[in-house]
Amino acid sequence: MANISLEHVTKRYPDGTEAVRDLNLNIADGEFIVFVGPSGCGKSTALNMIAGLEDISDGDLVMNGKVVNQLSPKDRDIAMVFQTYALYPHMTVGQNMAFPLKIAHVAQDEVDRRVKEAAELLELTEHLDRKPANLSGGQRQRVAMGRAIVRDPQAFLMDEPLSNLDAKLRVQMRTMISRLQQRLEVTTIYVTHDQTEAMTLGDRIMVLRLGVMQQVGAPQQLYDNPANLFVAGFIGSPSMNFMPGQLSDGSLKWPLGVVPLPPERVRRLRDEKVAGDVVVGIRPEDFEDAALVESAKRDQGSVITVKPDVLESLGSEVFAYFPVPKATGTQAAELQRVAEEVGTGDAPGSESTFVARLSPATRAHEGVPFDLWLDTHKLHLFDTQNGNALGR
Amino acid sequence: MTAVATPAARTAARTRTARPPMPAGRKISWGVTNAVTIAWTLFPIWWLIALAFKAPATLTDGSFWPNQWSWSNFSGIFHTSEFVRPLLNSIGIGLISTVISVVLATMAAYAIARLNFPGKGLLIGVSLLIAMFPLISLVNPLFGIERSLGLFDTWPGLIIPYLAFSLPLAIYTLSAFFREIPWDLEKAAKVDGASQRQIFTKVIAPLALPGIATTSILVFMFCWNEFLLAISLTSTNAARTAPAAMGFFTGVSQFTFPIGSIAAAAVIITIPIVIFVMIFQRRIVAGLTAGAVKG
Repeated sequence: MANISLEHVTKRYPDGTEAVRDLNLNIADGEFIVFVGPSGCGKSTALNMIAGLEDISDGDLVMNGKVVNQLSPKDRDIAMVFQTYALYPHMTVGQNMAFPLKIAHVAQDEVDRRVKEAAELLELTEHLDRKPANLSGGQRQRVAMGRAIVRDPQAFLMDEPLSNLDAKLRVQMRTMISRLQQRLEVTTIYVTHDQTEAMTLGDRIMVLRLGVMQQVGAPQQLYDNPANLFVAGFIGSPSMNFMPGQLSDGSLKWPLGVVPLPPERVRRLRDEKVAGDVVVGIRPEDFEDAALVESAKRDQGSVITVKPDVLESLGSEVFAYFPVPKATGTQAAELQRVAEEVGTGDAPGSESTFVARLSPATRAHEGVPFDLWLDTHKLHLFDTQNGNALGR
Repeated sequence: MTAVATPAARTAARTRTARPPMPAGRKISWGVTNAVTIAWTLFPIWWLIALAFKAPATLTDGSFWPNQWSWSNFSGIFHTSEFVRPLLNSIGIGLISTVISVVLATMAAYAIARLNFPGKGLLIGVSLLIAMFPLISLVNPLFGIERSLGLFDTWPGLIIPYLAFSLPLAIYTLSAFFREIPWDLEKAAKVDGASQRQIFTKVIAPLALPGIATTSILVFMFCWNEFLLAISLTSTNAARTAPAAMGFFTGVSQFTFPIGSIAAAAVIITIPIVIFVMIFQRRIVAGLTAGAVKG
């Protein structure tokens, strides 16, 4: 087991592009940390640098108090699971799992024992003599895990290990990985572009954007208190709704009307000397059909009237989509950029779409205006220039 | 009753969907086409075999079938060193060239497929250029060079030019195979603790084996069949290869044309190629589908 520290780690390519910029992170022994971000954000590069598959241009990678920048992968004692599984096609499942031990000249009976143990743990015992080509995707994925486990390494590195599986299997394997990590208590770094995977698996999550760390923290913390517009848009599904607004005299003016803000929020904003244009964010679940909200709670929020054009009933919840005027001006550009990066870009047109998650008891109908309650305590405000969260 | 199909009807339906019966006309036209193609390609070979087995007296009787089977052509060529020694030269030069060429090409192709080094494009371009160079234009200079270097009429005198001409072909074929091997396998082996040499010997080379086999056959066939350099750069049986030696066959007397001996020799030198291809046939086919194997 190991604790791993990244100190000002930077990856710069010969053409000058920086895939990872000044990354600082301390990963505790036995921790499960997830690197998440859209494709091209540098998360895999960061992982490869930790594995030793890519050189570190600047900064130090410290494992158990020792700088390991110059160590080759084999001397770092880490195991890695790849998105493509990277099983050796000419070897059987058993040989695949035994490969790292054979390379390390472990005695044959010890190899057999460890492979057998890992195979039992992963329910692969009856497949040990088969070639990877004859296995299903899920089985291949488990073999790849097995090859990592037998090593009893200092750390597991996983590079999108589930993205080649179908949705159902992915959920199953997710819980398996979680259980496995808790049992083995090995420091694990997991890379994914899927925020659901990140939220469910990680003890902590690090969100990356364009090679720069945006925020690191527990999943709930990232969800409740996103540090900036990007994290807010990336974490959560469906993603947060954004809209430009204006702050004046403790109330927020935005295209959906004028909403008074809670007093403590106003005080904090005043401390930060925030005024004028802001970007407002609200999560779909912080809306509710006003008719279903008790009057006591109702006073904590504010009610607006909207006309939903689409209602999606999932049984346990109803998603209401309603159009709002599209943002214009300076905030619009920033919003558009974030939306594109987190993959929630709007269809072209003069209107954006908001999503509200309602109780299935709602009486709303498509095309019929109804009163929508929103929790003003849960509003997120962001700076229009740099996207940082305001008044947290 | 209409809704329930009998088992027999169901089987018939299944057979029909699995393999629709070919109309008789189509069957005949295909059969004829096949027969003509096979006859067209095999006829010269049969003619050669027939000639080889004819007794010397009946060689020119105009029949495509030996009226009198005889081994005398074969025993004739094996009783003189005029064929035995060149045959050994052919085998030796062919095998040595193939081994050296494939070993070098494997390493070069691996580097080309995997590494980014300055001048990579130039290397590929130049090696292709060499492969396209007409051999005949090089015969004269090579003759001069080899004579002054003392390589003329020696094994190395043939092996070296054979390497030069087979390497581009081998590198090109092999790098295509290496490119098919997923990068991730190499990374996985690296993380699993393998050294660069172990990665190559334990992971990459076994996976490239079909490619190596295919390339070996191609190179060996090139060396085995090569005639122009073999006849130009040798003068005695010290290094003359079998195809070249056949050009120097003499008849029983100076007035007889050695057609029987040539036919027998041609049959003999075809055998190693046939064996080689039969051994590696499965590998060649496997090589063609290597891309289907996913890491």
